[in-house]
Order: sequence, then C-alpha cells, then structure tokens
Amino acid sequence: MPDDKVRPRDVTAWLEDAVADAERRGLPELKPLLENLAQATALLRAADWNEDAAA
Amino acid sequence: MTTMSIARLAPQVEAGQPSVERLVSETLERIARVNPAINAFITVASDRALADARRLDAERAQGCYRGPLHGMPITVKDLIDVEGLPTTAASRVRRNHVARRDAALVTRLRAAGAIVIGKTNLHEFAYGTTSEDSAYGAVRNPVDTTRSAGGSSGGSAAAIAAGLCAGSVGTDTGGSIRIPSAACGTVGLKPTFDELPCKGVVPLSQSLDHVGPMAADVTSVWMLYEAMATHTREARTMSAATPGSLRLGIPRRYFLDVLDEEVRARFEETIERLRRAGMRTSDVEVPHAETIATVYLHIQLPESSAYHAVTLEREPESYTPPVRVRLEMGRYVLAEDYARAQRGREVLRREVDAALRDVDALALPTLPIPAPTIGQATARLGTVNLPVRAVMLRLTQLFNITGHPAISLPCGQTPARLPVGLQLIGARHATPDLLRLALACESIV
Repeated sequence: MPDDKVRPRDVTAWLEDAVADAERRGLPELKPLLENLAQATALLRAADWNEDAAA
Repeated sequence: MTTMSIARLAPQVEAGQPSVERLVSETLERIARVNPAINAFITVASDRALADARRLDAERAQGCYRGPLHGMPITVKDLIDVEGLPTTAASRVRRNHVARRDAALVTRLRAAGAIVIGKTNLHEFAYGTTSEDSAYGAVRNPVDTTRSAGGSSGGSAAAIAAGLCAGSVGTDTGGSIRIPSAACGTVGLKPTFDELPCKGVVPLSQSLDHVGPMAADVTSVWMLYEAMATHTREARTMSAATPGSLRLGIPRRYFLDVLDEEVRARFEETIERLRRAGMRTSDVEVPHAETIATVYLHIQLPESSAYHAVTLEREPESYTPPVRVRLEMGRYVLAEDYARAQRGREVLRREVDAALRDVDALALPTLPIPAPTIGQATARLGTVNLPVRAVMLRLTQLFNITGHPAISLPCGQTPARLPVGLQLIGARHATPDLLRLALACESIV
C-alpha cells in the first residue's frame, strides 16, 4: 500500500519541483521548456517497453 | 554558384593542371570575395594552406601522388581539432583554446593529401539546427542569404555550396551533417555510429555523436570517407549499384505525416523516378516512431549538460542565451528517465533493423521543410505551427539514436529554388553499400 505521507514522484511533482528550482536559481525562462519536457517525459514513461516490478 | 567536386578535380590535379598552389590560391581568393555574405568561416588558414600546397606540388613533381585527395582544399567544422588553430565551437567559452594536435580524422585526411584551408562556422557547440546561435554570427545560406544554412554544420555546407572548399568534415548528433546538406543542396554522410573516430572532436552528446564527410556529390563524399575510415583501406571500387537490383523501404506513417507540401511533392517525384529506373519500393513500419523525439531528448539533454556542467557554473554568460537555456534544461532530467530512454533506444534500433530486413535502404526526405528564414521560430505545416528545431530534427534524429548510416543528397528544388534533400538509410556496419546505392540514386535523381 502506498504511504500517504510520501509525496508521489510523478511527472507533475517533478515539474513543480523543477520550475521552483529554476526560479530560485534565477532562470524563470526555463519554465516553458520544462513544461514541454514534462510532456515528453510523460510520453516516455507511458511507453510499453517500461516494466512493472510486480508483473 | 559553381561547386568544387573532388571527383572532377582529382584527375586534373594529378596531371598538374592546375597545380595545387593555384587551386588553393584561387580558392582562398574566392573565400575572401564570397564569405562576407555567408559567414561560413571562423578561421581561414591561408599561409599554412599555401605552404602545404607548395609541398604537395613538389611531391607530385617527384612522382609521389597520394591519391584523389592530393592537394584538395578542404575545411573542417570548428568543433574538430587542427593543430595550432583554435577550436572555438563557435562559443566564447572556448575563446582561449588552441589545439595541440590534430583530431585523428584530420591526421588521416592530411596523410591522404588533403589541405585544411579553414574551419567552418556552426551552431554554438553544435547545439542547434540553424547555425544562427554562434559567437561569430549566423551562417547564411548561399542559395538565399535571408535563410539559414541549416545546422549545426551550417558553415561546412554553405562553404561547399558556394564553391569555397572541395569538401568538409562535419559532426552529426541529431542530423547536423544531413540537415545543412539538405538546406544548401549538397551531400552529407553520417556513417554507422563509432565508425569514424571522434577523438579530438568537442562532444555534444557522446552516445549520439557521429563525424562524417560533406561534399558536392556522392563520389567526393565517398573519397573523403575512404580516407577517414581505416578499416576500408582495401581496394574498393566506387561504383554505383544496379538500379534494377535495389529495393527501397518507405516508412510513411509518422515520417511523412508532417511535411511541407513542396517537399512532399519533390520526394514523391523522386521515388517515382527511382521506380521508373527499376528500383522496387515498399512501405515499411517503425512501430514506436511516436517515441523518437522523447527518447532522443532524454538521452541528448543530460549527456550535453554533463559535459558543460563546469562551464555552466563558472561562466554561464559566455554561452548564447538559447544554448545556455537548453543546457540548463538537461540538468533536470532524472536518471531513471535516462535509463527508460536507453531501453527505448534498443526497441527503436531493433525496429529499424527489422524495417531494413527486406530492403536495401530506407528512403525519406531529409528535412520536412525547406531552409527556414534566419530568426524563424515556428513552421506552419498544414493547420499547425510547430517549433522549427523540432521539425528540422524530426526525420534525422532516429538514426543517431540507432546508429544506422544515413546520407542526404539533393533531389530537386521548391519553386523558390530552395533545395530539397533525399535521405537514404542503410544497414548498420554497411556504409559502403549505402554509398553504392546513393551513387545509383544520384545518377537518376
């Protein structure tokens, strides 16, 4: 069972963290690129060659 | 514009008409006259080239002719080391660099008699498809100077198209030899991965980087390739394959879905001409084609950022802003996604191998659009606007992921006289077979 206290490490969470970090580092211009990258990452993670350790 | 063909010039130089010194002098004069309009060169090595020319004339007079590259004035992309010259990578980051020795492939070309007359402009650190973001200014397309020469080896293709060198050596991480070749109407070969040595070449993404020859025609490209590829030194006949024996596979789904209509028309006309000459064609599939761009991104971005991590921290202002931002983006890719992309790479490699199983080569356009105008950010294809960078990489980057050899050759022009490129992709570790097929296609197209 997933632990409710652990924040998921999904693409949405990754994007929030990445944008916040880029802004903290003074690179707000990275935001649209990171948003595009997040879409690509979601596609990559949905690819049918990825494995499920429980399967 | 009159291009310089090694295949045409070699017998003349062997006969001493012209002398190497005259050939090099005239080339240097042309560079001085034409280059200001196209900005293809970062360094012109006039004195050294003339000294080499006199030495090679003396050798020939004594009966020592080194072969078809004897005295040929060539250029190398300014990402490749030439002893005693800066390797700028078109970046202020490398403003103090001077190469201490030749890159391995430059050593081989010099041994074959080629003369390096200069180093060509490029997209900064090869990180782009237009050769606009350069510390030395944008490269302009000799066909239409309001347009990009393509990239990242844009200076090499522009110099060849303008007749400012007999050939060049470029690098190709997502299409950087083939894209500018298509944009400028010249020929460029990306051999099989790891076939030519990258030692002495500034990397962009080490598991995707290739080096390869560029020239005005397929025979000239082949001559440069033979000089650089030591394992092909056995006597090899540079002959065209017989068209009637050839089979081409056309991966239509995904690859032909997003194309400028003039590019589509020239491609279909070319395929029809090849069919009439006796080649057989069939449609083939790359089932996971929709994942190509995402697999590419998750490998290329972090590999590039790793190489630049130190200078991104130390002197970020030395990069052009677009290249700096892309390098910073790569620092956010997670290791697990890099690993997923490597799995995808294996899937795509097997699928391209399978698509080639019953054909001699795959055939595609090289670029989905003609050369974009300088500064153009998006391309309208059908009803949608797409980023120029993504569009320009769309048909070439797969073969950097999989390592298959690929060549671009001209196959006509748009009504605005902009060149269109035909891309042919061969089996891995069979680059000479691809060249034989490309020679046959060149004579028909």
